[in-house]
Amino acid sequence: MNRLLRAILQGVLPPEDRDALVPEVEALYESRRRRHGRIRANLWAVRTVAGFLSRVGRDRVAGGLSRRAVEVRRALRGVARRPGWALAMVATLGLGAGGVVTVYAVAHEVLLRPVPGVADAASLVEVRLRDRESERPSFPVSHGDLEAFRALPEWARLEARIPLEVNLAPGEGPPVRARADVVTPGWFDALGVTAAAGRLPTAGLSVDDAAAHLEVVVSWSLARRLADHPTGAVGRRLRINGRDASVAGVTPAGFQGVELPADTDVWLPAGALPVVEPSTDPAVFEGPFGVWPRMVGRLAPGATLDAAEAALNRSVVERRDTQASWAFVSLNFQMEVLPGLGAEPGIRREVTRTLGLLAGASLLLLILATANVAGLSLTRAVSRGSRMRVQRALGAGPGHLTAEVVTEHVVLGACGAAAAVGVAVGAARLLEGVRLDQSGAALAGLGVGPRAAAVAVCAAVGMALAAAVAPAGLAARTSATRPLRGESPSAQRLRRGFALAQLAASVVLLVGAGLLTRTVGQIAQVDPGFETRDLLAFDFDPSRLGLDDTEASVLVEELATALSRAPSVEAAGIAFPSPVWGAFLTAHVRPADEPDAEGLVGAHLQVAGDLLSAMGVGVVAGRDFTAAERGGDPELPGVVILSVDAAEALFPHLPPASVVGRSVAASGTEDPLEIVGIVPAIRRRGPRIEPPPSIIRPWGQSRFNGVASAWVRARPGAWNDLAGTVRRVAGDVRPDLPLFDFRSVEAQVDRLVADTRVVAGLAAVTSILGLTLSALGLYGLLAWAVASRTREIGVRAALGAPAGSLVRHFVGQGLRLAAVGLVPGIAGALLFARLLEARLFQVRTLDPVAWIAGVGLLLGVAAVASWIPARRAAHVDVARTLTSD
Amino acid sequence: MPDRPALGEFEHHVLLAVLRLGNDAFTAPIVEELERRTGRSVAPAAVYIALRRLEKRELVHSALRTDDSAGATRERRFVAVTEAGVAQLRDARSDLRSLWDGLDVLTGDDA
Repeated sequence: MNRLLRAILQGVLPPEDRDALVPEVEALYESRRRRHGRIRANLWAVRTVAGFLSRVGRDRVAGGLSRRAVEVRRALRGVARRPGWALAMVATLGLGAGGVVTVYAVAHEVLLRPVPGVADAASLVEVRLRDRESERPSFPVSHGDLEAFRALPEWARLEARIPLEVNLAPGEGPPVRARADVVTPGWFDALGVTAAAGRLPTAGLSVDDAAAHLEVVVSWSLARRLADHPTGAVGRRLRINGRDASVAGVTPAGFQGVELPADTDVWLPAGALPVVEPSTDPAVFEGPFGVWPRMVGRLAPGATLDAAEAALNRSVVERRDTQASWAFVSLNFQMEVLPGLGAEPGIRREVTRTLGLLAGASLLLLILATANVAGLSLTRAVSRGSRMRVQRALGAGPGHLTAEVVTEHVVLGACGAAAAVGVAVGAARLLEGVRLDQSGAALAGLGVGPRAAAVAVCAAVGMALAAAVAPAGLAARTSATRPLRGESPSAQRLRRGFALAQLAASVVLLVGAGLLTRTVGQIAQVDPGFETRDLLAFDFDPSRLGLDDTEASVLVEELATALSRAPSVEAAGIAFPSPVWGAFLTAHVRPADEPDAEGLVGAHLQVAGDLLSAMGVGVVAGRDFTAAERGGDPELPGVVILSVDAAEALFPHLPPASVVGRSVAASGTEDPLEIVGIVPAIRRRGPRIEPPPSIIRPWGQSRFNGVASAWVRARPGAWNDLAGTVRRVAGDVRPDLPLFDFRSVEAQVDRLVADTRVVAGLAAVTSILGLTLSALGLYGLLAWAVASRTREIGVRAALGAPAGSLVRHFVGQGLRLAAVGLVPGIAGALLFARLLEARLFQVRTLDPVAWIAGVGLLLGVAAVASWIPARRAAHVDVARTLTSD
Repeated sequence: MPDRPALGEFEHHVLLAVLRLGNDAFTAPIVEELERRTGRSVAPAAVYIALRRLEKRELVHSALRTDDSAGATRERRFVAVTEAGVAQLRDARSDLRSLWDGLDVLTGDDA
């Protein structure tokens, strides 16, 4: 029988019958399986276990086995009698707790989810060398440093890796881009990863060994592409960056490296680094060079994270005095120990920042929801005051009445938890595929697991219990002899307090959402400096083909020309480095005739083909490079195109157009370069970051070699064919050149602001929910006030009070309450705006539009929420009210 | 008349099945015996609950005993009908007989 069914059965049966009865049911299941087949037997098993669940539960209740069960049944009956009220409670609890669970699910996905395939992942830590003043997630330590750190008593294991992107050619096929890790000999052992096939070689640092015979470990998924069955991949040949290698072992299915998203396919021994990356010094593991950027370790028994981090930093201080490698390292550098493995540390930090804000917003929503639920509970408590007095008169103790209220709230909390899981599942669907940062890591596997469900239960039941405090207090104080009166003053004060808390929290959420929405609007108005539509970009690495700089330059120009002539292509060009979101290559320039001028440091960009046309960047003065200049004709003088800001900085007294024809001296070139053109500033790091001045050189005259980025603009209507055409054309030019990272530039630029938009979207949703909740709270408060004062209103109406004055009275009451709620709300919103400051763009924290809109919206909604019950007051039937009991 | 609650139809069936099985009565054979005799599907949970109620009313008694009849040694809760149970069955049968008296034409029996 199914294990889950057996476990349920064991759980439901009393201990004295469990051991005897479960095997009997299994025997019956077996006999049915033999007679009727597995499917019918399984159906029978489900029915049988369900039967035990319901019958044993009923038997317990009927037999008086559990007083709690009786209370739950009574609570359920009570809830069923007020379905509207119960639905409002459950919906509010679900929304409040659902927000918390969603934030938890994101945190779990990015920060807490264990890396698959690693033994005891929770006890692993990530170690890195960080510059506190830099955004760069980690800097490499030398092999000597690694060995010194390893010897510290706080560490049981400390291993390291170098993440690489390699060109991987399985067998005879064309090469593809793959993620690889160069690892220390004890890497797999420290992670507890064993070979699914072959062996995981621990051979280490010998470059000669690796050069003679390169053995690599491949992932299960790569092995499946190499052979019919993954185990058959052992011994297969591969080419990595053009070097022959053989597969020594296969990792188990599921394990694909220690960084999420896990997609590492190849592991290389440390000695292989200079073999696959020929630019690396062969003595890299002997000298003081920083080589290991990522470390993973396990702490020694009894050691804490803080102690291990302190020990590493003590070691760094000692090495700073003795080791040449540390002499130039800034004092801002520090070793950091991060618990667990997972997303890249930079992403973790970014997400932590975003999550901090979202957690704040969801906490506010939780407060709002709790206040609302508390208000609803109090309404219910007051309305059943007379029944409770009768119960007291019949002998029920205060404890009994309190227990009844608490049980009812626990039951509602449980239903609210189920609703919260539903809300979180919906939110997870919406968030799936959302890009978290500029690298494009997505929330691919976001889901609501058992832990998130536990968070939902804790949040919803916790809220329900918090809301039960006031009504439970009322229940405990219920007296059988006190005459029946309306709502007590203390209950009225409490309800008003809850409404005020909701209004205040709403102001905070509305202003926050307003500021972020304004930010998204401001960002959308920023001109990136180039035309993003119909533009396709992809990367390739000519340096991996073993070409020298001249050959690479010829290949790049040839490829750019072939792409430009292809059908469906309007213009194409190639740049190094990537013009947008890539690394900067800096260059220093100054006016050639002013040797003492300070000049400027700008971002170097070398281009081939019609890159500027492909990007839609027009030359504002002068001209683009000629084909001869791009081809590197040695007879021609060196030329350069500057961005407007570079021209203004270098020649502050000249209009940009007059700069054309002048010369600049640039770092790395001996002869002066003639300025042939001026282009607008290109926003290379997204709209938030001021673009650095651009210094653009023709590829043939510059010839840096590295990962190049091709930009291809589609002819109108030809977008869908573009990627296929590009691959075919590039394949014709050079079949062994892997092309990777195909992306729509529009989507990529959009991604640069994705995080702000996600936060703004979530803040808007949260604030609308918050506003709805507080409107409901205010409405409930005034509706109750109108209902409990019906008689008084009737008297006033009978004495001649006009309907309009009654409406004004109640709307005024609502608005006064909203105005009072504004005071703490504005204070909280000021604090929240301060927290948001880093996320705002061209929007001040005191942005009048956001503030006036937020406060105005709240007052407007408060007026409507008050007007509905006020209208009811104006239409009170005087005759009926005065003659009723 | 004895002042005790009458047997329900299902309890009646369970008691009879236990009597038929003699000393070998425990839940699974009772379920199978009932299914074989009545031709209807019987829920093990219903048998289990009925046995618990019958035991509470002292119409059956149960004891955990080691059973090695199936080749493997296993703890089972064996059930046997008590004197009171047999008496209750007898009363139930006589109640039924007296109710059926004179209605034999309906059943087609000659007796």
